[in-house]
Amino acid sequence: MLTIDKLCYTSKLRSIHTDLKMIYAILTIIVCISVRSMVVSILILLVSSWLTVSKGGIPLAKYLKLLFVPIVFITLSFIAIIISLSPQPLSWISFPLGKYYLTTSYVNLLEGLRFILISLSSVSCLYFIALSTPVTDLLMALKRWHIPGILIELMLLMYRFIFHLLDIANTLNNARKSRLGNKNYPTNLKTFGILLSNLLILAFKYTSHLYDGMESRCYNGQILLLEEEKVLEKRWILYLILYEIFLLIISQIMKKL
Amino acid sequence: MNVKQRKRVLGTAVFALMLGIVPSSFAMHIMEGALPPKYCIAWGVLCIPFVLAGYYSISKVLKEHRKTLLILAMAGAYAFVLSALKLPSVTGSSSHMTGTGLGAILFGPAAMSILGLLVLVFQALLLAHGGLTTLGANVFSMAIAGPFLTYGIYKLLQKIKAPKYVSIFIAAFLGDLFTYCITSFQLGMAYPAETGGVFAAVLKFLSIFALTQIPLAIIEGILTVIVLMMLESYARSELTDLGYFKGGMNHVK
Repeated sequence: MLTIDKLCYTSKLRSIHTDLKMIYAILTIIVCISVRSMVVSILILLVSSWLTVSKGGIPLAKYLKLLFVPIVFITLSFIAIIISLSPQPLSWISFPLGKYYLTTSYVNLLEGLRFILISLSSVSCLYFIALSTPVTDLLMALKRWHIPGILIELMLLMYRFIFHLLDIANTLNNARKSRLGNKNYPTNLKTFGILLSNLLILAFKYTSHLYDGMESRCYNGQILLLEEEKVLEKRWILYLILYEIFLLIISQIMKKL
Repeated sequence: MNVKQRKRVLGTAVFALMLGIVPSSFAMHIMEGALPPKYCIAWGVLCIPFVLAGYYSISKVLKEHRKTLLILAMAGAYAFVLSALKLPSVTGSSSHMTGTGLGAILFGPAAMSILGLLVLVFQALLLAHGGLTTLGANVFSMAIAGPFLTYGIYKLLQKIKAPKYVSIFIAAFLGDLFTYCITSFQLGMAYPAETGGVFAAVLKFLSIFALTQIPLAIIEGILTVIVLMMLESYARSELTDLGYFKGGMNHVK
């Protein structure tokens, strides 16, 4: 049911060391939002997409579809950034609105475009990590980074439960629809509420059973997982550092954009 | 068309109009890359005391009752699934619940800060809603500000003996609106307007996001009432499991 989770297990980049992938994604995002340069953003967007699609083997159509998930947020924020309400019309377009003008200037337009590019390229970095690294690998990495054990354990269990609950929710939803639970809007809303409360009840029943099962198998508050060993190749670290330096140099050369 | 049918058409038309402009509630997650670094850090730092308080309150309970780890994880997974399910809407546009109100009333605000943090991490990694650098800002608006306000109003209304379901609706509705105000504030601060500065920018973001958020807050309020009504009437025994969490609905004192 969750496309990203399904795709990331098939990625060819899965065998690369998790730390390297995470550092790449996070470092690139930080560079991207720090220098706020359009050229650098476009470069990052292209490189991350290339890594995910052709190196990772994620289908391009699916990737593009995912890239447009946050489109609503982008559009609304773009509108909010470029429009201003002012007593004088600004340089680009303006509509009179009583005493004021609903107006936008070239500077604002540029700022809006910059916002779109920076957001898209940062999202492409986020996708790079999400589409190449399964959650269990990430949790292992977090464990190495000394994140408190309780949180890791919680996340591991949550990750397991999410799919179970999605399954239950799907079944409940089918039952709801096949009994005309969505015949009109009020019924729809009501049955959706029933679905949610039933989901919670079923979830707790499941938890109880699970706990009994785990307890009888000597669960002592710790779940141990085996980890696949992945080699961290030195040359990749070098490439990564060179790439970030290259981005910084580009941003210095093209300061205005 | 007879009168009844006409009423129905009119009613659904109003709803359709209301929901036609609700493209997605995920609009309220500040996405990756939308905030400059200094704001990412500032909001992150602001979250730390709340998350730490939540962490300590949870780990104290966990030492005493091992089962709570499972319950807590299930609560988190539930909050995640809640936000992944499509809300019923007439036009077929996809919108989703934030679940902050329901979570705050069921699990209490302390547990919600940790759960919200984890849910937001999963939303970023599995659904690409929100992001890693904007995690601090999102945690503050959705896992701290919203739940705390919801909880405060819920308790306050209970104290002055307001009808239970009315107080649930108002608490969830206002919590949702508050989340959206905080998000607009966060964005407005990061992108001040050319004329009028931060204040004008916040107003702009508020008015534009209002299109999607006000109808959603109403729907979410109604749903929260329905869910809690159902749970109260036939899941009392399951709900006692939640009594472990400080401030939760059935908190045992």
